[in-house]
Amino acid sequence: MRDEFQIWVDAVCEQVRFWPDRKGIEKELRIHYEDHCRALERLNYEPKLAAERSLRAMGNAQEVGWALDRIHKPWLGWLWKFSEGTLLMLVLIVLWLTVSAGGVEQLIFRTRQQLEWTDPPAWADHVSLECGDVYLAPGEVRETGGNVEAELRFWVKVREPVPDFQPWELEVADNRGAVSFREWGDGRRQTSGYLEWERVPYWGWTRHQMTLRLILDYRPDWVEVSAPGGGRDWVLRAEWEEEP
Amino acid sequence: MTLNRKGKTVRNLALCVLLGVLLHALMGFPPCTVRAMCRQFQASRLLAGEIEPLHVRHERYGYSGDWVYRVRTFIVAKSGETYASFLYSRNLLQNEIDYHYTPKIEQNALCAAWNGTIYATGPFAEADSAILEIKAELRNRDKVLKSKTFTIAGERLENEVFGFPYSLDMLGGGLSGWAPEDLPDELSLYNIARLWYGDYWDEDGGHGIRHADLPCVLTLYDGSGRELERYDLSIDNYEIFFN
Repeated sequence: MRDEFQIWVDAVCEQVRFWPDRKGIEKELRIHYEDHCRALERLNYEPKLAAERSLRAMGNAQEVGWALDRIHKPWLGWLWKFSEGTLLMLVLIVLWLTVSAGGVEQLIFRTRQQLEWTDPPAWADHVSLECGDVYLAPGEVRETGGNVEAELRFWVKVREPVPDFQPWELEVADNRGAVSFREWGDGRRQTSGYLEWERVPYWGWTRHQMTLRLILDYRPDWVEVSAPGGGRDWVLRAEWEEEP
Repeated sequence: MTLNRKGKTVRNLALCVLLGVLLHALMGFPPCTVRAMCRQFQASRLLAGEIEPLHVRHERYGYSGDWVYRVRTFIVAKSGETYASFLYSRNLLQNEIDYHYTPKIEQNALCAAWNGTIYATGPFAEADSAILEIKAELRNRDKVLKSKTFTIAGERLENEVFGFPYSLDMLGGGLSGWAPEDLPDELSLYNIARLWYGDYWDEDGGHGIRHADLPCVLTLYDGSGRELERYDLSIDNYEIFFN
């Protein structure tokens, strides 16, 4: 009879289209069948008769199978499996990025910089672009070791996160007509008229700040910055007040 | 409360969305489409006008050390009257700008070379055909030892883009050791871009290749062969040979 039960449960499971559930269904039905057999044997039924009666009580295999198929919908089953697999994969990828690729440090660092961004002063020169807004204001001018360091402060708000902010192809001119400096992505520089310059970046995701430090041998009255290099798509001007 | 299968599925999918957003942020918000790459490039370089891709080229490629092939996307784009060319490289989930090609930004017209094609882009909608002349010079300090002009006929790729193919036939290592002035004259543009611009260091026998702007003259013609316009442009020799 137990072989007959196997035949019966195989016929039930054949009706269930979502095959990953068939093993679980067989297990549940078998438990139910064996419980019924034990109950009948406790009532002094012969084991063979108990098995026969229990199997008959389980019902028509095909009808039971159809009913279970309606409950174990294939589309929901496969969607559930897909969601489990995708979730596991995402968890592993996020863990890997967190542990090995330094993704979390970068995320925290730039998020903090994004939140610490301060608004530019109201008198900063400003241009609105398709991609965002750029502000420029003059910073400190210091005389050090015979040279003059003049700071230009930039604030940039863009509409989308930019992981790699590179406003390096800038053209800078001042009251002495000194020409441009440009820096390309591969690190090459072209500079004329300035002794040196350096960038101090400070950037988040959509909010960035940058200080350009120009090292000159004179004190500038004003500086104009345009971009992209050679383009003059936009021009911003920073003027310093005359020394008393 | 024990969730049924439907509840578990909804919970899993919601967690997938949250993790997906976190993953996107952890990877620095990589752009997924060509338009997104253009917008990211525009924002990173503060281009003023709306950016529009003019020509896109996808290729599979593997750098040494890669486990799987990358898909490189070379884009020629326009933002107002500014033209730009740049390269993105996708490796599994990450897609970022690839500095094996240095992005170029120029006003009014642009000439850029990548992987066997020189692209010229500008307000060329009226032109039927184009010719590009590229001049290479072998110099010894300020003296020009040799010069060669390559003339390539263009193929219209898009409304504002012409393509000028050149051969990627790298000569064997033997010729790399020659002094440039001793090299044979019949060298292709690809080889001249490397071999004529080398700096040789006598002390250790090594050499490097310096960057040089190769002047280009682009001539546009109408359907009857009449010259429409000429543009003086330039390309860096590294664009020709460094892929």
